Amino acid sequence: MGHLRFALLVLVAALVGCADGSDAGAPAPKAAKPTPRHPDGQVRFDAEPGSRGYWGRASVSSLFEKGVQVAMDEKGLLANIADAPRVAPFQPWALALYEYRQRNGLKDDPTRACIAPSGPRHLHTAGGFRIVRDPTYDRMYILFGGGNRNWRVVFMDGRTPPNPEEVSGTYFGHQAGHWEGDTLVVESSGYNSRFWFSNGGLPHTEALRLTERFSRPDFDTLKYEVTVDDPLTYTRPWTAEWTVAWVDGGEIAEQFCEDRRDG
Amino acid sequence: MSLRVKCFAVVLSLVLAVVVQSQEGFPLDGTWRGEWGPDGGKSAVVIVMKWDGKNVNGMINPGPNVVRFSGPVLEPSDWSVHIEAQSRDGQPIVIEAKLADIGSYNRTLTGTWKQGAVGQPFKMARE
Repeated sequence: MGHLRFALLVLVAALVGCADGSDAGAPAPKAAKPTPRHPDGQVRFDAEPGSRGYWGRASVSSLFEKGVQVAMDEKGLLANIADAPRVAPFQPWALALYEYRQRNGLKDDPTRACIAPSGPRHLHTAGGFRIVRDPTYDRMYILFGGGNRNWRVVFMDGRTPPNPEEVSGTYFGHQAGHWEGDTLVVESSGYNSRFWFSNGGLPHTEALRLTERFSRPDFDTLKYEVTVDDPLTYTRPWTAEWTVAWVDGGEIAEQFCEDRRDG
Repeated sequence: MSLRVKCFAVVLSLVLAVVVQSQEGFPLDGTWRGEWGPDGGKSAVVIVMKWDGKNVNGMINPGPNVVRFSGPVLEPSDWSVHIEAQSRDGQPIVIEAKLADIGSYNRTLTGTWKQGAVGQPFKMARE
């Protein structure tokens, strides 16, 4: 009897061992490369010295409110127009205008006239982008391959964005950044309303204020969150978020609108 | 040029400078130019409108004889426009119009302009 019990124990141990062995043979999940940092410890959003790379495709093609799932194509066209009211907390006129733009296949998109995208839409332009720190001028630059190879200047010198009613609106607005831990927070205002700030044609007015939060949880991932505050267009501030993948090696591609028109 | 005229010119240019910025966004924002009245007797008209989030605040013919109005004005379900104001001589003005070509920079407003008991066709385009 004792031998039988011993044999059973050996059999169970062998089976457990086989199970352990099979797990050990599977490829271990790839450990994420850590977030790169500057010598002063600040998060590095660009390539490390001696290497190349840029931020490529976003995980979504346009803005929609955090927590909402809507299907849309790469231009921000909804798969189902009935989803329009779920995209953002629109005022009635803004919903009607968004639906009008969607139903017309985005034919009035200002980028068709080579007017640059702006705000969050910049991060959806083809060609990728870089986020470059400039300690000399105490600024961050966001450089884009597409959208006529534009760049955004983010002032990191402690200034605050202006009251939209006190400035002449511009396409890229006035942008001021600061750090909250490892997150780069960019607040902006002073936009004009002659561009679309998203794929798909979300409306806005000159009262638009944006708060963008950039973080790099690991080497390959940019986490982006934007809060849209435009009380003339939306019934309350709302937030969208997505991630962007790092493209290791290579550089952002030059893409000019006029070239596409000629082509 | 008298001081009064110079002051008026400065104020008008400041008003226009602010208005000229408002060319997109809310569909009625901006400066509209057109005419109303019967064929052969049309009157030129300028309307300036600005959305404040709840109401449209507007001016008919900005200048010394400006007529101001304020209200919801736009019905987005069918892009109809309804403006009520009072002329300088106390006559009620009622404008019923339809917004068209909304995606265009130079979208249009077409409808009837009723001043007192008389209703006349009118058409405007946004500058």
